[in-house]
Formats: sequence, structure tokens, C-alpha cells
Amino acid sequence: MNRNANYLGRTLAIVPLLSLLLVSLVHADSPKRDSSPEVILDIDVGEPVMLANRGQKAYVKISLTGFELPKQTKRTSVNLALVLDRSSSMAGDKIEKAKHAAMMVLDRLGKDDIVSVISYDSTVDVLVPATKVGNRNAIRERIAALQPRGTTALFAGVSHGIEEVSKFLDNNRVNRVILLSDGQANVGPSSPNELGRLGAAAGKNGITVSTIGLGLGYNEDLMTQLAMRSDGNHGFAENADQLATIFNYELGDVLSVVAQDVVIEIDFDRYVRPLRGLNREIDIHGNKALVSLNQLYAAQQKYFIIEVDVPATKPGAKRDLARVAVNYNNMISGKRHKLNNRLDVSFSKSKKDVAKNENRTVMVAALEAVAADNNRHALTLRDKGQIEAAERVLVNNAATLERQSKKYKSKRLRSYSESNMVDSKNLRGQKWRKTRKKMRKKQHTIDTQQSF
Amino acid sequence: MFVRPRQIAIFLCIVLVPLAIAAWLGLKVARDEQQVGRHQFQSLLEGRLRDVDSTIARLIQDIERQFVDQILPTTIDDTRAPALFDELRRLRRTNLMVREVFVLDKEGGLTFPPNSADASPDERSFRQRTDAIWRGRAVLYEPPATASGDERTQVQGPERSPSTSMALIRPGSEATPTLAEQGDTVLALAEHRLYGWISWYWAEGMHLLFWRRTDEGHVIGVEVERIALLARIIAKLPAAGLDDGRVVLIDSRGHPMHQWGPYEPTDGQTAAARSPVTYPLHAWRLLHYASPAQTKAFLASSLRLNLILGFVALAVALLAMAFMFYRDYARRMRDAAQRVNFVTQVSHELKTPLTNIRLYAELLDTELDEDDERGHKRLSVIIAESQRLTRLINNILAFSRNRKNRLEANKSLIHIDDVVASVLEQFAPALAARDIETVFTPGADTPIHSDADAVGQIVANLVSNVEKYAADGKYLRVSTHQSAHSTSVRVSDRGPGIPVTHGDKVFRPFYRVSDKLTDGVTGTGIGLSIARELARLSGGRLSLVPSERGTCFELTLDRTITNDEERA
Repeated sequence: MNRNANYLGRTLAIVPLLSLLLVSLVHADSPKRDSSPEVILDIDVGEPVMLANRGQKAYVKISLTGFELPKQTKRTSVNLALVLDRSSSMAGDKIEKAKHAAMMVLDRLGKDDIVSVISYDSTVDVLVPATKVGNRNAIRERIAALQPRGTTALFAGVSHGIEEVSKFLDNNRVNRVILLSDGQANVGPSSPNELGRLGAAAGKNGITVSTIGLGLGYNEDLMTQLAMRSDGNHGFAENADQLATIFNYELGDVLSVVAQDVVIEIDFDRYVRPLRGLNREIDIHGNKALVSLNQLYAAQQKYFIIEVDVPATKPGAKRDLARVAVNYNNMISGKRHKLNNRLDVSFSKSKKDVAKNENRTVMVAALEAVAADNNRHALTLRDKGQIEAAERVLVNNAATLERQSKKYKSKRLRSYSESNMVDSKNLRGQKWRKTRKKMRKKQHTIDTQQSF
Repeated sequence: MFVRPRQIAIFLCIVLVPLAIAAWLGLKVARDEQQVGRHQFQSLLEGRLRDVDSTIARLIQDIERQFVDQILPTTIDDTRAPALFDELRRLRRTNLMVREVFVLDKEGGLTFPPNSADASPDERSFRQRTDAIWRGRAVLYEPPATASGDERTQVQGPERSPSTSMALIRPGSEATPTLAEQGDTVLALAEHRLYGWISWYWAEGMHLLFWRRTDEGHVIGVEVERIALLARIIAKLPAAGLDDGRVVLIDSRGHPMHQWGPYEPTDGQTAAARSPVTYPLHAWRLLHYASPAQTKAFLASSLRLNLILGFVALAVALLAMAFMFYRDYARRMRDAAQRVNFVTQVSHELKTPLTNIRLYAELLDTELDEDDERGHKRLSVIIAESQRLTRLINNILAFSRNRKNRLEANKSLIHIDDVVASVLEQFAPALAARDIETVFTPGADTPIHSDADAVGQIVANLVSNVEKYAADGKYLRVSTHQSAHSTSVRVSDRGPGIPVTHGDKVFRPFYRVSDKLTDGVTGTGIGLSIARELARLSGGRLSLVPSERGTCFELTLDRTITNDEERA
């Protein structure tokens, strides 16, 4: 019976081994203690296979996609300031619809959310200081009592909004200011640059300022700068009826924040030089680039495109083009998460190879961003009074986009081509005011990938 | 009617001049009080502004404290270490008050942001706009000296030197920052201070640097994000809380940056009070506008009402006084007029009987015997006396008519010599009775156009005066002259004469040269005044001629000779 004992001994020996294996597998199966969803980080380049022996430019696209909010989870609480213009130009339908929209926002907030309401004309009135949305009726009453008068102290209004949000500033809340304005800022700092700096300052503290312009009298440069630099949304309501819808979209974003304080660091290859960001502001130092986003929304992708200089490389070689590291606040887990990714490119002598491997998504995004830049240039020309020159730029832009839309079979590019064509026809007289606002809104939407 | 325009003018003066003075004084007092009131109002508003400023000062202090104690590193081993650069860039990315960060090593070189290809466009632009400061070519300001003993304002900490505290500007002291010495660099400032501010102007406006010295003697600092600072200040300033008026915070160019208060100032309205903002924002100002209601409420005082009441009372008193004087004056004028009227009336009554007496006396004189010497003599006395009475009555009546401006001259062609001769004839007995030697030297035989009665009365008055006052001289001389343009009659005596001081005054009605002289002498005192007036009406003038001895009057008549006269 010795053979049997040997068999038994061997089998018995395997058990602990097996169990060890099982245990380690089990451990390996749970890399995190909680199973919170992750943001998806992608890095791509326009031409994954590049032409060899030639220095050239390349477009690198880094995109982040917010995950879907799991059904059972409570959404992140909100710390929101509504800053409403009550200058005399808001009289009548406008103020009524604005009040209605504000109350609608209030209705969509929950008990745990914090809200404040600030109104401004030539002076600022903190109607409702930052408070939990407990007594809705009292808040509604204050909003209902708004009457229009005076001029526009937009800067002070936004400053107070930021202050109210700062009172309950919290990593675990969505900290937001929504600004509604129908006019020019005429008390206090009022240049787009200054308001942009205010937006940047707010963004540094994690406060996002979204701006909604009502009518044709507001300053779209100022409003887009403020939103852009603080990573907020911008909406254009041509008439007061559209306010409710736009507020709803904005609130939709606010209530679907899945990540905050997103810091993206990209290290490029030693010989690759990052030149500029196409659609967002990028901090470039040597061959490092740094971007930050205030938040990511559920199921929405935000990206930025960096134009880089790639030196001539031998065919068949591979380059470790870039490594990207992201860290962000995951609103589900409440912790800071890290993500990593990297990008390689290879080089080939064959142009066909290059063309075959072209990344269509990246190219479309990059071309759209370039077109938005051209659109901006046309706007500047029109501002200077050079109407014909502006028209030419827009028509050329439309034509280029049309060509590219065919090449890449892109509906996006086709639709932007049409948009440019329409713009080129509406540069004169009274139509310009509306066109300019539309152009700014579209530029902002392209640059920030706004969902509405 | 009894009051001449001149009297009315005098009365008006008596009433109006004191009133005017009182009004002017009253206005002055009221204005002064307004000034005081305005100053008090201004001080009150300035006090409010200083309160606002102290809020700003506290915020600045908080920011200072945060930078010095928490945010800025206290030691830097290697001013060029890449790890340091990363940390500073992270600081810039995450702190909203920080626009840029900089490091000055202790030799004065700017090591961060680096002057290399690594630097971002923003960092390069920072180097450019701050270049003048690092080279020591910018004008730097020191903070104002702290008011001593103000414990609250001292920032707690080990190495604080007094001049670095952010002084809450005490009421009454305008603490302005002082110019640092020319050529001072930040490093030089850092030698005797731990931290400080620098504000300078570039392109779009004011920029602010905050710096802190490290243990090794380097300087680390930030360019403050001015917009974020402004936003924080605005958020700290009251949004409401002013029941009237408006406060405005303006920048160095006078543009409003923030304002609150219900009142909307009108175009061109000036601020009722102003106050500078605390260092390092000393180029900014706080302005307080007051609404008219506010100003009025503050400056309204009962003083004005009192002044007006006093003025009115004074006016009433003066008017009452003037009225009483007027009544008294009018009454006296009336009485005087009545007296004059009475005298005139009497003279009128006397005139007719007197004329009869003279008439019948002269008739009797012609009917008497030629050798009835005694009878003639007696009659001549009666006639002379009645003539004198006539003259007196004529004088009185002339005086009365003159006062009523009804004295007229009856001009015709007359021989002056004849007129004078007839007057002297009338007076002859009286003059002889007084032993007055009479000399008449005629010299005006050409007839002239004048009033015989008037001239006669003038000469008669002059001679009568000699008889009354100059009888001691025992001499009367009357002479007439004629030239191409005028005829003159001189009446002179060797009496006591009229002193120079009395001069023209003798021609005034009722004027007496001196009581002593004319003691015991009768007379109405109107003779010379009548004579002068008559002379004027007759086309000439009567004047007192200076003479060594006695008195000499000269009647000058402008000679107007018509063609008729010449032919005649």
C-alpha cells in the first residue's frame, strides 16, 4: 500500500498548493477594496504610423470619459450659487422667465444640496445666502420678489456667487456658480480678459462658473471667457422662452458630475516638442504638458488636442511618444484615483501605410478645432470692420470642412461647414449681433465638448 | 406833501441800512453754520468709509498672514532646483490668489520663472513686465508708519518689524505710503524687513507683488491675481447695509469697481466724502455719495429759522421807529408850515391897509402947504415907516412864494441907476437919522432887461442891512458899473464886516452871523436869502465880496441887450 500512501501524500500536498493558488487568485481578483467605476483615459494620435525621415507635426488627443452613474448610488450633492441679472433691461418677460427657470432649478435640487441666490443690478443683493435647500418656499418667495432696475455690476455679482459657494466649499460636492446675464457689465471690471481671470481663479478653487446669455445685448466674449477659464458651460438663449431648457441642460450636467479636480500630466519623448493646445489652455514646460479640468460628467467625453513637433525618425523605429498620468477625485468612492496610459508611434516609408492607419476620430476632432480657430479669426476680422475678409475666411473654412467631411465621412465636420456658410452670410447690419453670439457659443462648444 | 424826497431817502436809509447789515451778518452766520454742518456730515461719512477700509485692511492682513506663514516656503536650499520649480508651478496652479511665483536669489538674480526655453509664455511675459523692478529702476513705496500703541494692528509673529504691520488707518490721520529711497531694490528692502508689497503699473493697470524673505536671504514671492483679490474684497464688503446714499470703490483711474447703497448719484455729482484705501491698494479710493434727502436732513437746523425770525423782528422794530419819526417829523413840518402860512396870511392882510396908509400919506403930503415944514417932516416919517413895513411885508411874501416856487421875475427895460437912486431916496431919512454918510456913484446909464421891483428890493435889503448892522461905520457907498456883458451894483460899508468863516452862510434864511453881534437888533433874517433868490431870478447873482474893511456886497446882472434896446 506504499503507492497509495504516496498518491495520498502527493494529493494532500497539492491541496495547500491549490488553496494558496485560489487565495492568491481571489486576492488578485479584488485590486481595490471597493468596486467603483473608473473614468476612461485614452491617448491617441492622428497618425499612429507616421512618415519616416521627416520632421513633422502631429496631433495628440487625450480624452477622458466619465462613467455612467450606477443606478443605486446617490448622486453627488451640489453646492450651487445662482447669480441673476436684474438690471433694468431684464424688465418684463425676461425677468419672469428667469425667475421661473431659477425656481425650476430649485425644484430639481434635494434636501442635501446647498443653494444661494444672488441678484445684481448696479449693486449686489445676496437674496438667499448659502443654505441647505430646506425651506423651499422661503427661497421661492425671495426669487419671486425680484424686480428689475439699475445698471449691471456683473463682476460683483459673480464675486459674491463665488463667495457664497466658498462658504461650503467641499471636495465631495459639486461647487458651481450659474450666471444669467442679458447685458454688458458696466460696473467694476468688465473686460473679457478680467472676467476670464476671475474664472481661472474660481477654477483653481474647484468652483466652476457656467454662463447663460439672454437676448442679444449681453457680452458674449466676457461670458465665454468666464466659462472657458473656469471649465464651465455657456448657453445662448435668444429669447426668454429658451431659458428653462438651457437651465435644465446645465443642471443635468451639474447633477451628473462623476469626477472632479482632474489633473493631467503628459510627459513627451525627449525629442518631441509640444507646441500648443488646440482647444484648451495647456501649461507647457519643455517637453512636459499640464492640463486640469474641473469636472467630468457621466457618459460625456472631454478631450484636448496637443500639437507636437516630431523629429525625423528612421523607418521601422518606434517612438514612445507620450506618457500620460491623470489623478482625480472619484465622486463615487470619495477618493483620489490615478490613471495611466501611453502612446507609441511607428514610422514607415510607405504613405499608403500611413493613410491606412490614420485615426479618424483624432483627425476629425483636430480638424474641427482648427476650423474653430479659423472661425475665431473671422470674428476678429469682422470686429475690425473687414467684412469681406471675414466672409472669405468663413467661406474658405466651410469649403475645407466640406472636403474633410467627405474624406472622413464625418457628420460633425459637415454640420460645422454648414454653420460657417450660414455665418458668412450674416455678417452685416443687425444680423451680426446674433451671428457673433452664435459663433462664440459654437466655438465654446467645440473647445469644451459641451453637451448642449 | 410835507416831506421832501430827501427826507424820504434818509428815512429809507435809516431803515434799510441796519436791515441790510443784519441780513448780511445773518447770512454769514447761517453760511458758517452750514459749513460746520457740512464738515460734520463729511466727517461722519468719512468715518463710515474708514470702517469699510478697515475691513479691506483686515483682509489684506489675513492674506499676508497666509502667505507668510503657510503658503510661501520659508527655506530654499537651491534656487534652481527643478523640484522647487515643480512645487512653485503647482502653487501657481492651485492657489487662486497667485498669478505667478518668483524667486530672487540673494545676489539679486531672478531664478524663477526661469529664463529658458522651458518657460511658458505666461512666465516669459511675467519676466518682461517685472524687469524694471529687479533692475532697481522702479519706484517702490514703503508702507505708512503704524500709529504707535495700536496693539490690534500688530501682526503676531517673531520677526515682525514695526513698519511692516498693516496699519488700520486711524481716524484723523491720513497715513500715506512713503517713497522708498531711490535705487532701492527688493533685496535692499528685504534686508531690513521680512515681507512686503510692491505695486506698479503696467499696460492694463495696477499689479501687485508680495514678497517674503527666506532664511537664507533669498526672496520668494508671488504676483497677486488682482482680479481674485478684488473679488475677495468685494465679497467681504457689504452688499447692503446702507439705508441711504452710496459708497463706491474706485481704482486709480477713477473707474468704479464696486458699489453699494440704494442711492444712484446724478451725473456730475461730487462725492460728499472720500477716503484712500489702505496700503498696498493706496491708489484706490472709497467715495461716499449722499442723497439730497440725506444731506438736507443732516444740515437742516433751527438756526436758520431763528435768524429769520430775528431779522423779521428787527425789520418790524426799525419800521415802527421810522414810522414814529416820520409822524413826528411830519407833524412838525405841518406846524411850521402852518406858522409860515399864518405869517403870510397876516402879511397879506397887512399889505392892503398899509398901501392905503402910504397912499393917503403921500396924498396928504402933496396937499400940505409948502412951508408946513413940521407937517412935511411928520409925513415923511409916516411915509418912510410905511415904506419900510411894505418892504418887510414884500420880503415875507417873497419868501413864502419862493418856498412854494412861485416867485417870478417881471422883466422889462430898466435903468439901474434910477432904481438905485429911488431906493436910496426912500432910505435917506433913516440913514440920516443914523448919521450914515451915503455916497452914490452911478455908472450904469444903459438900460438893461431886468425886473425893477426885484432889483429895488435887493438893493433895499442890502441898504437895510447896513442900517441895521453897520451903522457904526457911518458910511455907505453904492456904486454901479456897466460893461459889455454885465451890470453891477456894489453896496459897501465900513462896519464890523462879515468874517470869512461865515462866507456863503449869510445868504441862508434865518442865519445870524453871531448872536453877540446882533443882540438887540430886530429883523427877520430872511433879507439876504430873498435878495439872492431875486438876483438869480433877475438874471444875475448876489455875492459877498472880500474886503479889508467893512462889508461889500455885489449884485451882478447879466446884460442882455436886444436889438430893440439898441435902437432905443
